[in-house]
This record gives sequence, C-alpha cells and structure tokens, in this order.
Amino acid sequence: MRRLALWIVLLVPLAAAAQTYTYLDQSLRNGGRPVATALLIAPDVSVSEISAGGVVEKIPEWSKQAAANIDSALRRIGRGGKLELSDPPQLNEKEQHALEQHVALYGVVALQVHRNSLAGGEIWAKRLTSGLTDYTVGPGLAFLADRTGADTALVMIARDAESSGGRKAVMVLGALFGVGLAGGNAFAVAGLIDLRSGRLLWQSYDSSITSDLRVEADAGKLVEGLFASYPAAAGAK
Amino acid sequence: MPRAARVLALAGVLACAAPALAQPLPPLAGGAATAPASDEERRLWANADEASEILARSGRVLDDPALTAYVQRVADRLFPEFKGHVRVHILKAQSLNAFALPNGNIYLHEGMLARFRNESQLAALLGHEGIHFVDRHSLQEIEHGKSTAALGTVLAVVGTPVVGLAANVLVMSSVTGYSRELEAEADELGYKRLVAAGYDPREAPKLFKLMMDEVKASGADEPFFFSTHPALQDRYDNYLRLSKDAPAPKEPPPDHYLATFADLRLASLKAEVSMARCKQVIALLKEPERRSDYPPYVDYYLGEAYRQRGDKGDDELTKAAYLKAIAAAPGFAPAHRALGMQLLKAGAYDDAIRELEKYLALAQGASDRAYAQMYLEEARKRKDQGRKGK
Amino acid sequence: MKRLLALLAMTALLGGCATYELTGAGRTAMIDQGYSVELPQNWVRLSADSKRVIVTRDGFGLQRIMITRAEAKDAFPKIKKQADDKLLASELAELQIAELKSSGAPNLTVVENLPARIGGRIGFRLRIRLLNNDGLAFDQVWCGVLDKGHYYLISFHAPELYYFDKYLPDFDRTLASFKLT
Repeated sequence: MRRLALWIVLLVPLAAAAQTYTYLDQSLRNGGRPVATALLIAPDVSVSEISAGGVVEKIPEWSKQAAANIDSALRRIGRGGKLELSDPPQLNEKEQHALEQHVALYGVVALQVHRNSLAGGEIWAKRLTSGLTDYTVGPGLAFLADRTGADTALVMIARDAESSGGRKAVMVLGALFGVGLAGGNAFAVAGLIDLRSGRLLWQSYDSSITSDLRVEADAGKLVEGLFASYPAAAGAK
Repeated sequence: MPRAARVLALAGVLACAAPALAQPLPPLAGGAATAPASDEERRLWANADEASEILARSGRVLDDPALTAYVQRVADRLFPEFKGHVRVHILKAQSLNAFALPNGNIYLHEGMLARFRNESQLAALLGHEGIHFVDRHSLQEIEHGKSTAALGTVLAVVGTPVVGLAANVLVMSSVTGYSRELEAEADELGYKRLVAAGYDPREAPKLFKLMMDEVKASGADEPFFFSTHPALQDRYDNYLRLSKDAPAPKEPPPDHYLATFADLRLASLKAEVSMARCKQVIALLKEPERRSDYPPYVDYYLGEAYRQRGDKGDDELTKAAYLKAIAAAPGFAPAHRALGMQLLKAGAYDDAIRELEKYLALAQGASDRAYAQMYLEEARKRKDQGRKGK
Repeated sequence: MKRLLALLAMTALLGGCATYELTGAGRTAMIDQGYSVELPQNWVRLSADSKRVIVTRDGFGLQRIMITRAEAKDAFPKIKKQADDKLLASELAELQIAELKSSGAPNLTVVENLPARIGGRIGFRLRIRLLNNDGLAFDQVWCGVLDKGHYYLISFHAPELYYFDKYLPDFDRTLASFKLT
C-alpha cells in the first residue's frame, strides 16, 4: 500500500495539551458489539531524518525497519486476542485501485478527526462524542467483507523524524515554524473502518518525543499505547 | 512575489550553505551498472522516486503512449547505454520548462514541446537534461539545496504542497537549476551527444533564441529555470559557440516532429488561453513561423488572448482576429460564438444574433450551449427593446 | 519561507488556533458584506473570520461551504485581472477557471460550466475536479456573480468519493437562499 502524502504535515504537530486521543463511533460508544476481525492493510510507515537545514528527508532503509517493527507489534496485538488480524486477499487491478482510493479517503477523514480531536475546542469535543458526525469512506469496500468474512479494515499510519547533527528535532521544527510543539518526533494513528458501511469505528493517536520506531521495543510501546483504548470483546486481553 | 524576488529569496537561503566548488564525481556507468553508488545517492534516488510518484498520482503526467514513446525514442538515441534508466515523461504544464530528476526521470512541459519545431531541437534539450542525470549533478549539489524555503515554489510545479527532500529535488531541477558550471557542462556534453546521434546541432541555439525572444516579448513572470532570461541567454551563448562552423549532419534521422505533435500544440494553446496567459499566447502567435504550425483558425486563439488582455484598442484587435479565423475556417464554431459575444457587448444586436445562431447550428453538442442560448435571447430582447424605443 | 508559514498558518487556522460556533436556524445576515443566507443547521462555522462564511459538518477537508466577497478590482489576484460589469457571465466563469488554475490547481478538470441565477442576478456555476497528491479526487462547485462593484463567490468542496453527492443538497439549499441586500 503506498504512502499517504497528506500526513507529512503532521510532522509539525498541532499545538495542543494532549498527545493522545481516541475517537469512538456511536455504535461502539453505546455498548455495541465490539469488532472482532480486521484485515490488516499494510501499515504506512516512514522514518525521516531532519537535515541541518531543517529539511525532512525520508530514509528508505529506516522506514523499512520501522514498518517491520510496527507490523510485528500489530500482529502481537492480534495474537493477544483484542482483534483477529488477517491479510487482505489477492486483488485485481481494479480492486487494488478501489482499495487505494478508499484508504486515501480514510487519510482525509482521519486528518479531520485528528484536527478536531486535538485542536477543535469545546464545539468539536462535544460533536465527536455526540453521534452527529459522518466519518466514513462509504460502502465501496464491501466486496472485501464478502470475500474474506472480515468485519473491518485496520489502517495504520506512523511517522518518525530523527534529527541529524545533534539537534533536537522538536527544537528545530519549533524554531523554524514558530509554533509551540507539544507533540513528539514520532506519532502513530490507527483507524478501524467497517468494511460494509465504511464508517470509521475507532481511531487512536499516540505520539512520543523519545520513540525511535527503528527500535523494536519503541515501536511496540507506541502500538500498545494506541490499542490501550481499543474496545475489545469481553474476555480479550 | 515577483520572480526576481523569489529567485533572490531562494538564492539567499541556498547561499547559506553554498560550496566554494562542487565536487566532481565520475558519471554513471551505463547499462546494468547504472545504480546509486552510496547511501546518500540511494536516498536521493528514493526521494526522487517519491517526487515522481506524486507527479504521476496527481494527474500531472500526460497519458499519451504515442507521444511518450516518441520522446523516449529520441532520449534512447542520445543515451543508448542508459536505455531503461533515462525515462521521459510529458507534464501537463504550459510554461517553458523541462527538468531531470536524479533517478533518471526527465519531465518535459507540454508548453516546451509545443515550441519545438523539429526533432533536433527536442534532442538538444533532452541531451542537456540527460547529462544532469548521467553526470549526477543533483548529488553534487543537493546538500546545498536542502532548504525549507523550497516548499513554496514547489507549488508552481505540482500544484500542491510537497515537503521534504522530494520538494528540494523538484525545485533544484526545475526552478533554480544547477550551478552555472554544471549547466555549462550539461550544454557541452549534451551537445556531443546531439552530434553523435546524428541530429542537426545548429538547431540548438535557434531553439533558445526563439524561447528568449518569446520570454522577452511576453514579459511574463515565470518561476521556472527555462522561463528565465539569464538561463536562456547562457544556453543560447553556449550552443552558439559550440555549434559555430558545425556542418549540417550527413544523414539526419527522419523528422516527423511537427506532424506528430500537432494535437499537443493545439491542446497547449487552448490550455494557455484557459489560464488567461494572454501575454504568452500573443508573443507565441506573433511569430509567422510558429503560426503556420497551427490550424487555419489559429487567429481565434489570438482573438481570445486580445480579449483577455483588454488593453486600449484590444476590442478592435479581438474582432479582427475572430473575423480572420472565420474567413480561414468558416465551419469553426467557437469563432462565431466569440464574435457573437463581442458584437452583443458592442450593441450590434443583428450581427450578434446572426453569429450566435450560426454557432448553435454548427455546435450541436457543445457544452456551452446554455451560455450561447442565453446570449442569443439577450440579443433578441435588446434588439426588440431598441425597435420599441423608436 | 513566507509561503511555508502561510501554509502552516492555514493548517493552524483550520485546526489549532481557530474558534468555532454552531450554525442555527434562520438567515445569517452579513450586513457589511451585502448579503444574507440560510446556512445548514447545526454545522460548524469558523467564527474567527468575520468577512467570510466558512462552514463544515464534519471537518473542512470533508465538506466545506464558503462565501466570500471581493472588490471587483481585486477579484482575480493570481491572474491580475479585474471583474467589471461589461463581462458576460461566461467570461466571468472563464476568469474564475484561470484563477483556480493559477492558484495551485493547473490540471483541474472542468466537469460543468453553466449560467446560473445567483441572488437574482445572472452569474455562473462551475463544477471542477482536482486530484490530491494521493490521487484522490476532490470536486468543487464555484458559483460567482457580480453586483454593484463586488464579486461574490459561493463554493462547495468535498471528496468526490461519498461526501460530494451526500452534501451537495445542503450546498444547493444554501445557494438558493443567497440574497443580495
């Protein structure tokens, strides 16, 4: 699955007191049946280096390592019983394009949830828990539910920016962009999409100043942090 | 921001880490050995790949297999040992520009292709751009091009923000260009390739002279490297010197350039009009040599440009251009619509009605019929009001 | 650098530093802007901007209705053109398309371009399509009209997948209620 270009802007985190949030769809808020099965869409992970000039440069080999770490951490969560994960089936070109389009729409939806959760003030805080929102990618992925029997798709985006030249990433970004940074240099956001309706059921965000996603333990900790808020079925760990 | 100020702003930022001299590197080996030689170069190519993906995904690359194959064939003739590594694409962009990314992808703006008059001119430009890749100019200069100020100008290339090294790669290759020394090297070595491939080297300075004249005549302010006078002047001077006393090639390759690119030329002209780039259109169509490359109704587009410019006296020039287009091609519907609208605005209702009726008869399936119908009704109404007033 | 800060300021405006209010029933009177309009109820309006109306239901990237007014002489700053009363509706639309193409969307596709009655006057209605860097299509409707030396633009923006068709009726109701005062 290709990388979402949109999320690069989040390497400049919004000024906010909270570094984490969870969004829960009304159907789960009201004690609806928790999700049990998910297709794991290949996580969109990249690790960049911030150069002396303050430019963010994606490093392919670091990104590959971090993606492997995130994938392992997610599968560990799956084996823990919270969520049964499986890989998407082989898709033809048309189906692959449809999946990519819907994941790209999720990227836009997720960014709105993110902004409204972290920096939307009281109005958005109420709205996000009111059941009035329409966060969805539409019903176009129902074919995947038919084909696999899975309830949902799990999409994950993670970004990490490591500084070079001994400068702290946070300070570099803050100094260059003149915004107060509360977030760290690594963040991850995970979203669960109902395959039939397209509704966003759950989205969790976590960030860290000290995480290095190239390190397996750090990636694991960030993913565990994300899933701490996951509304698993009774009896799951 | 005026181009001069933009260039200065960029230069100011780039100067912060400017080297005294770029470190020379051996050129890429060619064939199977064409690959990045260091981690830094691997990362550069990876970031260039990202820039290429964004260009492709965002719909900016022209999807025309025949035209793409044509320009690719010329590149393969110039750089045979890099076949498969030098990959040429056409960008749906009307300004004068072309650029090479460090991964071997070369992008030619439609606007540039619309200006070439033969295959030798295309080859001259591809020869220059290919050398930037083969001689690894990006790697030599990218450290010094890493600047956050690059972001804003990337908007001009891709239309949406691209951040990071991918952006710097795009900006350096398409906007700021490389150092003067490296650009001169691209001229020299590109010229050698041009001659070795059997093209006419005397076409190279001609191309840059025509572009310089057009940029000067249009007075337009464009951010791109090949749209700026100093860059074009340098190319012209270098190629003139290099091709001095050059004989005509013994057996030049057959040249089908003008015919092959006829549709693109017209599409580019339409796109320029749709962007209200009236100065550029007027400068382009003032050249008699260039006008003959377009269909007989080309004066319609000139009329549109005069209308958009709207300077004193342009009303008359507009009308004259439409009439000329109609005389040359009476069945060309848009000229009748355009003339009808001019006549409506001028209060010549009988004539406006005639032209708009003609348009609606000629252009049965036109997407703008609703407008034409509305103007026709307006002209009839005003004509009636005029009659009643008498 | 300035452009980068402007981009981030916009990001912040639409996120971190902005203030919001909920839209209510009835007309919103923009007295000093020369119009009134009925906005969709219980949507979220960006309240920091007193000269423009910008509302959304779920987030500005998912659906956005925006109403702006500019002096006719400042109507098309990117292409450096003015709007004037002598322009026909199709010419006004043409300039708006050129302005959009010069504002970071050079490869937009015009899906529809029709004359339209806006606030009782003849203007235009455009529908355009753009792709973002991930290849996702966004559709926009731009309705423009000139009145007494001012250029009014009423626009709707949403991803073409799901959101555009779902919320276009809300935009059309808003447009129909637009009255010049």
